[in-house]
Amino acid sequence: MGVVTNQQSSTSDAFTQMWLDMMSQFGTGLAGAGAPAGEAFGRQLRKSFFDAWARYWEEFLGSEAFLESMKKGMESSLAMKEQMDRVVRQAMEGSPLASASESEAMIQALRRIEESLHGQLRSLTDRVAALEEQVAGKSPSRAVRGRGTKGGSA
Amino acid sequence: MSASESASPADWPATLWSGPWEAALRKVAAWPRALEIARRTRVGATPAEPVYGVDKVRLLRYQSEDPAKFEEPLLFVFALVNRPYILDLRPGKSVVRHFVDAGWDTYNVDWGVPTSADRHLGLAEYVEGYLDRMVDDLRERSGCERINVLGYCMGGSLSAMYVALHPEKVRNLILLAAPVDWSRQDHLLAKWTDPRYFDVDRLIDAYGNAPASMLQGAFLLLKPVANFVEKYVSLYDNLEDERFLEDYFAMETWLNDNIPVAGEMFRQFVKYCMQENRLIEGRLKVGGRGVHLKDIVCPVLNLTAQNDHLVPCGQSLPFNDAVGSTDRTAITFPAGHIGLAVGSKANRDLWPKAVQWLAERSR
Repeated sequence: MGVVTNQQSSTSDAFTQMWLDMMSQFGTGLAGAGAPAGEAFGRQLRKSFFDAWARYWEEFLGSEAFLESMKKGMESSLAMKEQMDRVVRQAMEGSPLASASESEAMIQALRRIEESLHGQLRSLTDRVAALEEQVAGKSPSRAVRGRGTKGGSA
Repeated sequence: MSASESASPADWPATLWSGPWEAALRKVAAWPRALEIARRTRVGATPAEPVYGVDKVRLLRYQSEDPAKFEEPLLFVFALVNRPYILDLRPGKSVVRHFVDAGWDTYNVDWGVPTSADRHLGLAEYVEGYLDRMVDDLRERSGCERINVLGYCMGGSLSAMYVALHPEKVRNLILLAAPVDWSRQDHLLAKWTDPRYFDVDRLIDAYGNAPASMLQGAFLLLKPVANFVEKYVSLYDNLEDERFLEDYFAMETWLNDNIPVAGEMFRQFVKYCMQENRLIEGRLKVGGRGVHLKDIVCPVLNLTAQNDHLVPCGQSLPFNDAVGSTDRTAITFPAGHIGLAVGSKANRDLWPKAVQWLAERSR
């Protein structure tokens, strides 16, 4: 049947465009450098084809259709990973070994302590700097302040 | 008439052997040699040793037979994606070598390979933590208040953040294909990371770190014809060229030596920088402190690649207008993202200029 869907039409348009691009680029190359012979001719033809093909791919990879399929593919793959992780977590429940979620909770607790200590250190640094400023009657050197942070936790 | 048509039957074996058949058979015969070259490929042109380390991060010092001519050392900061030895891939293709030979005591940050225990490390830990400690160690080691920094790609973005936060510690800053402005969304990576299509939170929540295989796949897919077709055609064409093969396999070693990116770092970089463009707009905070590029007042050299498919010039060049420095230079070189570091032309024409630029501003 002679029914052509929009998607088929746009694919064939893109292919036609690629073909025209290639031939046009090839023609321009020939006109510029004179007609190459033998192996050089083959290489130029090949390069024109690859260039046009690359442009075609770039256009496709930036198209709405590709981006939507990328999004859906990623969503399904992430859903599968999340499902597998849930199954593993359930299987681990009741095991004497620490589960990933328990380790995670411990890491989060450590991070909170670390952040709180950092906050207190920052506030102390600012207070010391302000005091230095008052004592010296001028702004303290930033290099000295910078060196003071060395040895702090990453 | 072609040669084969004019030959008599007695000449057939000789005529069949000539031309494309001969070329094809020569290629087949060259495979064992090519595989041997692949097996013996080594990367890294300049000997280096670790001199300092925190957690998995190491500070590498490049060895030189000659004493340093300049007091202030030079620190290379590479991206967290892939390995830093691309800056010192092979003899004749080494950015590091240019600076070592010119007389700088030269160092490189090796960020190491993050494991799931490192997934909470973010911008604050990398910039204000690790990078600051590397810089402070170098300052103590050299006895200099300031050092020189060269940041490549994402390492350039991190360097820019660092220098904005600690301008007093850096004498000169060189950026190499470093993205700072993500306002233009007209290239593939920007489209792929658009929040409408890419949920970075869900990815990192599920995987912990950004998987190396995903990053590798994305980078290869940016230039599918070049990476999946042309590269192998070129390998076939040059199977008998030993020098080509050595370069090719060294490059392949690096391209396939992928590492994951710490989850929180990847999340923050994608979200705050690539999706929300906070760095150039002065809205980025690292470790609770605002990052303002205008606080960068040291001399700046911004090197960009004209044909960069990963970091288009438009993402790097606005840096020079955003900084507070009066001494700002930008050079756009006709190369690609990787060619800027390892390309023969860049090594011949670009890096001597960069070395001269730094020498004129160094102590």
